[in-house]
Amino acid sequence: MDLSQIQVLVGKESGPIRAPDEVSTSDIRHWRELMEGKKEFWNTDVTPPPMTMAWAMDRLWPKKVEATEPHEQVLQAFDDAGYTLTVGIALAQEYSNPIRLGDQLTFKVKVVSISPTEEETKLGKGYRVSLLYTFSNQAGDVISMQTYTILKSHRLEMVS
Amino acid sequence: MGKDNDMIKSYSGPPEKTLDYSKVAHLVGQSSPFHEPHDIVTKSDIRHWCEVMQDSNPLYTDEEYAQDSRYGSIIAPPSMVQTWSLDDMHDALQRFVHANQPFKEDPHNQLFDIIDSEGYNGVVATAQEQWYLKSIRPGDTIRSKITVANVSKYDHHTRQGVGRYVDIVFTFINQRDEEVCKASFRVLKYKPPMDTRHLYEG
Amino acid sequence: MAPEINNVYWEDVEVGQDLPQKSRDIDTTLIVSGAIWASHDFMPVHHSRDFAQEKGAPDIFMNILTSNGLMASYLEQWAGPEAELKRMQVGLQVPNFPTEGNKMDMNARITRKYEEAGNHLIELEISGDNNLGPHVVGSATMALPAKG
Repeated sequence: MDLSQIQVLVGKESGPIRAPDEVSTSDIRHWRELMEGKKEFWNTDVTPPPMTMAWAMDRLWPKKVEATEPHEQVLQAFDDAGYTLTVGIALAQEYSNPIRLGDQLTFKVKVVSISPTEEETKLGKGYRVSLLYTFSNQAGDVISMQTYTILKSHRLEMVS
Repeated sequence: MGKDNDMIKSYSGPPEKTLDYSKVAHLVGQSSPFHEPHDIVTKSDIRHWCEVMQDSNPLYTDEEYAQDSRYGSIIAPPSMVQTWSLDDMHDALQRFVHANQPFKEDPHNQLFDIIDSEGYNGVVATAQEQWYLKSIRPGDTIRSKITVANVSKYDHHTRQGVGRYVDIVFTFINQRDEEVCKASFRVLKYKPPMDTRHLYEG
Repeated sequence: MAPEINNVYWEDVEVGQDLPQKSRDIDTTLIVSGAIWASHDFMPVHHSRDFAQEKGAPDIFMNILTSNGLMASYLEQWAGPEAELKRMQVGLQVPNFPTEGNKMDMNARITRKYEEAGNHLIELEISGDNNLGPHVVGSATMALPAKG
């Protein structure tokens, strides 16, 4: 897809994507140890809400090669046009229900906005892309909505 | 000839220290207590391992396939067993960055302390062998102990330098006290060349 | 829906047979994710270049559990899920560094074929070589399914 056409993807949402892992004691504990330090007792019944996005991360292997979902097509179009660098610049998380041990999350990703033209930012020239992630558990309850904004650019140029 | 002999200086450095085996003999055959793992076995940790190894064995990650298999559920790759015996992040950094060893009283740690203090500070793992005895499943708690099996009685002259071989044995058990794996580990504790360089001076 | 699975049967293998070679690129991602993500090994020589260089190594290098795991998976992927790994023995020689273009070529040869306590067993010699030479040399024992 050409960069001039990507605005048609704004407002489009992916199908439900299944998190590769169900919520486990080890993943919760790893997060807590990194963020909170060593403890004698770990609460692994409920996850720290900021951890939610960890279940939306791609597999290491096998790599998904084809961009089938709208947000993947947006990112692919920028990569193809030479905007190969992706930098996370904002994350807004709202938590509505706790994520519990054993939960199997699914999420959908909606393309919320794309800069209409290349912008000058503090990190250099590029396009801002905002994605809305909606996470649900196996019961179908929405547990978190998160807006993730990234900058797609050719290279970082720090502007002071 | 006599002239050449005059060129050879007599060795005047400190006498080379060598480990007196009797200092460590009491530790040979001794075991640590069983230590708790940082985590119980989880499906997510198994998936992470398999993706790094690019291992598509459905027994490890495909719930349906594993249920119909002779195991009746997902199992862990056997070669993953030792991961549960490693330090948690905090203890590892204490051990490797801050020289603050956890479980100092364990016989193998006492042994390494003594050998280090005798100048054999270098360490290289030379061989590892694991025997897989029972399958490991999500939910299992894998505990491990370390036994000092053998220490060389005399110095070996190796590529790394003068050293002693230490054989330690790991025993891994699950929450039902069933042995799931036995592993042997041979390390060479050697004197880094810096420490023997004075022998060649003059 | 189970994926397509290849099983190797004990009757179909013979002593002296070589397994097809497989290679893995050795890069920073594999070394770091192998140490921290897969094997929970936080020794900093396996993830911090500064630490490794301070200790005298040119770069980070692979931990032994990842090397052992790669060789085990190489054997299991060849044999299929009906096989059982019974024993692995590895010795490490030159380290796996994440240098440009580095890869590890994994090979194995069947050295023994026998039956014991109802198991149909094979022993293998295994090796993994990188751009500096032999990284891992060892042996393994596996039980293979029999046609019965």
